[in-house]
Amino acid sequence: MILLYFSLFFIFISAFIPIFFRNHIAMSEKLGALLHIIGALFGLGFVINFFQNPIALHVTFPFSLLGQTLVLHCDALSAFFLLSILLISSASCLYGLSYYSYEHRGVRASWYYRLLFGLFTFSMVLLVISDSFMLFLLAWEMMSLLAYGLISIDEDDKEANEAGFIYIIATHTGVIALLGVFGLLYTYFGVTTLSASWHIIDQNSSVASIIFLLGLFGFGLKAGIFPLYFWLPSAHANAPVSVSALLSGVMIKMGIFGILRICLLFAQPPHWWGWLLFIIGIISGLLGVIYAIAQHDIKRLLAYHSIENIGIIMIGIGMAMLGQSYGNQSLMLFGIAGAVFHVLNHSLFKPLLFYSAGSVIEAFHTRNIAAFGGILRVMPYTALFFLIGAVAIVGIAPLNGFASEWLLYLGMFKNIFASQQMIILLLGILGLATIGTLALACFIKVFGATFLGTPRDISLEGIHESSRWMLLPMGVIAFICIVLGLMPFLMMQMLFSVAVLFGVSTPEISLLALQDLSEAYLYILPLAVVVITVLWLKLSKKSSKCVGTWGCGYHAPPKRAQYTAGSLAQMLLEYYGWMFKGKRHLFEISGLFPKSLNFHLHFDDKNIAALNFMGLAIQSFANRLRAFVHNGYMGLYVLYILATLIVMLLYVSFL
Amino acid sequence: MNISLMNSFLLITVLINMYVMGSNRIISAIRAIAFQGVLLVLLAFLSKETNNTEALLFSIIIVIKGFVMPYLLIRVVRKVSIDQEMRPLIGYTPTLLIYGLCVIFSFYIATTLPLLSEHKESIIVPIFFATLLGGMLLVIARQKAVTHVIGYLIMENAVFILSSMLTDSMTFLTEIGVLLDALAGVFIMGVVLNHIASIFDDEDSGKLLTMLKE
Repeated sequence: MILLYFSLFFIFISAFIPIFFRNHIAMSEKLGALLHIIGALFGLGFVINFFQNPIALHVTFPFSLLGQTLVLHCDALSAFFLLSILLISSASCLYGLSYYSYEHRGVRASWYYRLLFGLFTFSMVLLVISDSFMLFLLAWEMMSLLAYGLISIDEDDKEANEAGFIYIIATHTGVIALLGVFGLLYTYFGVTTLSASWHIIDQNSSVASIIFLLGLFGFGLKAGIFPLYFWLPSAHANAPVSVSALLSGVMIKMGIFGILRICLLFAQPPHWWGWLLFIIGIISGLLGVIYAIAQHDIKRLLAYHSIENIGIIMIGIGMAMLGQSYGNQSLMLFGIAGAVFHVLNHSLFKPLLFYSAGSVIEAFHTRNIAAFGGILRVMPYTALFFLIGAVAIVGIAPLNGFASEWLLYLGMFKNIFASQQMIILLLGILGLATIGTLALACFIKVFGATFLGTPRDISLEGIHESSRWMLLPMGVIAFICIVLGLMPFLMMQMLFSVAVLFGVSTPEISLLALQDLSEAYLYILPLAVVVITVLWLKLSKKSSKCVGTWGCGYHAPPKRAQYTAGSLAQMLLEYYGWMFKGKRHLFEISGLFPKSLNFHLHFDDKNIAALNFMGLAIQSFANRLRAFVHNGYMGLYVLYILATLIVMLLYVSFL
Repeated sequence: MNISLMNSFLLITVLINMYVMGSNRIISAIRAIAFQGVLLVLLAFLSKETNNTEALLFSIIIVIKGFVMPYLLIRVVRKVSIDQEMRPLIGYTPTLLIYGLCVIFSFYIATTLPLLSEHKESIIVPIFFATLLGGMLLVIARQKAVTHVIGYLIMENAVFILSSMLTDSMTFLTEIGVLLDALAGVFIMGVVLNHIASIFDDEDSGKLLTMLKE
């Protein structure tokens, strides 16, 4: 635990360095980042040390906070989430050195950003190890508020401010639900710490479902599950990239962390909870990826992919819960291990994608995919890292995204005939496969339109590869992605100890499947390399001419004569048109001399539109009610007083 | 003074309330309220032993209630040349009917309250409620600002009933305080009405908000 204290201390200090050394901002930015990374290294040391012997650490401090004794508790779940928090926050710190430096944004913005950033990381680390309800809520609130500050850090950006506003409303609605959860726990069971409330709730009691649903709502708002993700795309799209990476990679996972903690409260959940989580997972995943295809803002698109990945994680949690309620150990093991592994993986490849997208946005000052094209030629490393991230997020074989999805697939396939949940598992397999395929299509669109082809609306002249500080974290994360993809068995011990926490007991079912995966790669990958080399050699002899990627086979087409992001997405969107509230301007060419035609694609998220509509309806109802009750006529107010008086007198008389 | 005589005088208070609600002349309503105030003060004076100080206070209250406030109000009404109509929002007969219900309600409520045994026979508490509700009803049912002031004065009388007759200790000082509040209210109302009348033609407070907006 000492290492963790060091880590917290250094991260806390790093937040304040740039404020105190404002006059030497260039030095203090680097010093702050260095301290942050030192803190993160201490923390990582703690995590590695912890998993050597994963026994929960429990520390009770001799003083109280907000009326409750301060208790820290670190178990396998906390340690696992610490891993992604520390990795991604230090990567973002490095990335921010060049991305959010005082040279670009000014001294004040620089230290302000670093202050919020350091405290944000600090609060998340504190969150996962806090055990008293009050400390948990405090850390949760700190995290939420600091995230708000980071989203709307650019005061002139109207869109960012609006996104931050929506976010803060959403997150505070969630906090109210969480207060309900903890209040119920305290009143009905008299517990004040999370670790004391494990498995204490009888699933048949009337409060059990209320606690579960409130928790799902409160944490689900943060995680961005369907239909509560409405704040997520705009917040992720408008925050600075280094923050978006942290939000998407880590903060929304705190919602998942909370949902897992809620799951731990129940020894034997009812069946329908598992079904609910599973179905929410499938819907979130599908909607996330389909809406992602329709986006033309690259950061918004990545944000929708976060929703998709949260969906995949929820499928895993749903599996685990189904396994728990039906007493199916292997379903539980694979579900929880897959979900938690995917949490880590998503928190690696999503920041990687955000960083590389951020480098592109920094260079060209636009987020519109339709404007990009041919960037591969000027930013080869960024393109490479984006490609690695894309392959990982889609879940293609040798990268880490596949490893975690593979666990989920395995869990479902193994139990499809052996259990009563055949239909839902079948649905899960179909859903997961569809999500993967659509994600592939989506990233073909993004990568193809951004890095290949020729520039559409931008100029490549004078653009260089982004700075080393930006490439370094990308490289590190890409390396980890590849290592975890090729050797997922490195995580076996950690995943298993998390699963043990959730009550997986049988030692004979284990995660050896991950070792099998590596073995399979050992044979398949060399083969693949050989095949590709042979094909490459053969093909490169045959065709020596070089043609632009989306140029429809013409040798030197004008830059407008190529497929655009919109046209790549259009075909798929036609199938899923019913999910959108949108306008399509399609055309059909007719006649011998067709006139000039326009093609325009604009799709809106139907879910958000529906929520908007509901919100507006409630607002107009409230307005009318207010105009009726509070209409400015004084006699009416006296009438209210009179009515209150009479009611209270009657109340007294009947008492 | 025995209880039954006092009760019959108290009932006159309610009758005056009814008169105010039923009349459509503002000035006569103001006079009726002044008479009600004087009647109540005298009733309180006669119902208990008093020393010199208290007698002085009594006379101050009588002067304010019976002469100063009605004079101020009538002056305002004449000066801003408010037409003498009450201009009811709820008609005269419905107001009286509702007030009848209020009186019944007051008597019912008083039976359920945990009163001291010596107050069981007197009707101070039900008359207090009836007068209070009457004042509120007047504020609700009439549209003009001056009638609202009349409503407040009725409520003030109600408070006086409770404070001076139900308790034996030094309540006159409290009453003086309340009275000063009411007097200040009358002053302010006069000033406001004067100003509004000089700016707008209509001093109808129901439309005050819309007037101010325009």
